[in-house]
Amino acid sequence: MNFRTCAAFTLAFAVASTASYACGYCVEDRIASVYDHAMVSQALARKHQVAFFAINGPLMASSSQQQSIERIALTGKGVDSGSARVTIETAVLALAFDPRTAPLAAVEASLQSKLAVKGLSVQRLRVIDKAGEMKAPQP
Amino acid sequence: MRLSLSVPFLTLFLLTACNPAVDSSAAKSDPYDATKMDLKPKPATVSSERHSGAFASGSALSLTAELKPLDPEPVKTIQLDTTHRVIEIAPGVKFSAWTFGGQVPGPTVRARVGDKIRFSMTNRSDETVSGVQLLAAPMMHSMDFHAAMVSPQDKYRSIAPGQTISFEFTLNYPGVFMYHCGTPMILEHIASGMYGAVVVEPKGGYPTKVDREYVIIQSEFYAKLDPEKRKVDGVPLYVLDGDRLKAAQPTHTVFNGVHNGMVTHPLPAKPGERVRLYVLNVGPSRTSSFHVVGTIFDRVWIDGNPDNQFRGMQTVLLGSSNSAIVEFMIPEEGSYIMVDHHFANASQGAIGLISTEPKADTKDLEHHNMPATTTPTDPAAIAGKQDFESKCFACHSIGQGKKLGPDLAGVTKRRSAEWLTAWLRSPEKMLANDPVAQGLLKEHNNLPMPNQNLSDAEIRQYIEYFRWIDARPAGSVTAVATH
Repeated sequence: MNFRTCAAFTLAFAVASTASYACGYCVEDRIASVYDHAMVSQALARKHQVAFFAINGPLMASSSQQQSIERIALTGKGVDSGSARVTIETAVLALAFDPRTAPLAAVEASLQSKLAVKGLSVQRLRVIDKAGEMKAPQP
Repeated sequence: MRLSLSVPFLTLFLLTACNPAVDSSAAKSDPYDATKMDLKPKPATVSSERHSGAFASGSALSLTAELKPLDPEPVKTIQLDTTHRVIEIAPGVKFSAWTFGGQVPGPTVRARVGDKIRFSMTNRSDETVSGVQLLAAPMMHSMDFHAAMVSPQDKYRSIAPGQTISFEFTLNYPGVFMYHCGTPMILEHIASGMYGAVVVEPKGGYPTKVDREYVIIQSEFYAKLDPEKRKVDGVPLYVLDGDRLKAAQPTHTVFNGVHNGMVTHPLPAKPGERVRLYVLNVGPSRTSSFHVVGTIFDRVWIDGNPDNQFRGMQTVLLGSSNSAIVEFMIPEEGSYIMVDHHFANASQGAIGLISTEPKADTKDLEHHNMPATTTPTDPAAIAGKQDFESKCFACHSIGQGKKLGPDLAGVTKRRSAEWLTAWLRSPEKMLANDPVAQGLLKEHNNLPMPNQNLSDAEIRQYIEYFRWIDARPAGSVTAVATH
């Protein structure tokens, strides 16, 4: 791989990993589109966590695709029943999970393998593990 | 030969010496010199430490239309927390709102070019209000200050309930700037009440002295009855109407958050005084043609910057998030009516008064709307009342005698609903065929009522309002305006 190609990949990776856009479409604004305070509060009360993922790949603005992704998310080990929230317009998925049953990495890996069948993948955006705190993913 | 050669050189020398681009004193006096602006603010911080107590604080804040004098401190520390509230946007219309500082519009910030704003905001939308269970669900919110020059991704990011964001910025331009929540859908967050104004004076202050200073913020509301039919204090709750919002068809267009704001509580002034209004149209979607009946704007500073001056304007056009400072004299005793001269907006509540009379609300008023003494709670009757007050007062009264048209107190006892419906739908047809209508025409100097092009829904609302009046004890509801 020559220097120019490497630089291009590095730039593309940096842009993709920050997932940062113009005002109104930055990471937190995308999270706002699926944020469900009742779901978050219930999860934290049970000492569970809430993870937010960007969905990458071809998405159609249809309720059936939204529901399909939610169903897939709920099949993951450790994922709280009824906790999946998806917004197609901003391509974001949120779910609550018990880190004692399945750590975040395992939840994410499960999502990746199941969504790959649909040509989709996920990218971790933020995690809430405590009230009032929204953490960026650790490298 | 030597003279001919030296002239061009001399000319060139003189031109260079006089070139303003190299005149350092001119560059130093430029108030918009970008090299002198603070364009390197520190990064914002987000924490889980929440504010408690008051939802707004800071000496630079004004909570009402009357603008407090400028705080001379060069660093203004302000706190504006987000919270959800039920507010009354019109008599009997309790609306589920989202707010800055617990009020709509949010508090006005007053500062000067060069001042630093030290801002913090806790998202307290998860805090319950005692006795009120009808607030919108907690959600993420953010702050967008039009007065600031900062990275939106850093300073204007959305925060979850329980989080606090803090950041600083220096004010580099004078103006009257909007602030609003920038969380998507921004349209919904603004239409739900999340906006306010920052007044930034020029560094040397304004070039004129005035006797009164008021902030006027025009905004739209898109309200519909709560689909779950919930009530607040026995009155139906109203929530955001998403369909009308996206079609930019408001139900109420108001000054300072209230239908006919400042009609029942006029802004005071005295004859001979000079009044300055800081006028901001926050939209979210419509334009304002701001006008004050009875006077002319001696000075208009577009977007609140004296460098953008017009003289002698009757009306100033403000797009959504545009502003202007207008100054005018109060020539004599009277009530001077602020309106949006897009009269569809005025009829929805964009009316206010600047009055030399301390209790102008007890007197008959020229023009437009006049509140009745009590208020219905049925939504159809409320709508009928508002429409009646905006369209019918020129010719009718309620319980105050005949005017150009009949006194409408008791009309549902004199006429059936069918007759009233036919009349309101097409007065000209009724005048051609109905003997009662023809009798009324003779009684009222052969002055026919013009067709108001009412929809069936509007007709039903009028009749509900008339029924509500006639169900009350005779004489208990009166309303009139005079010419």
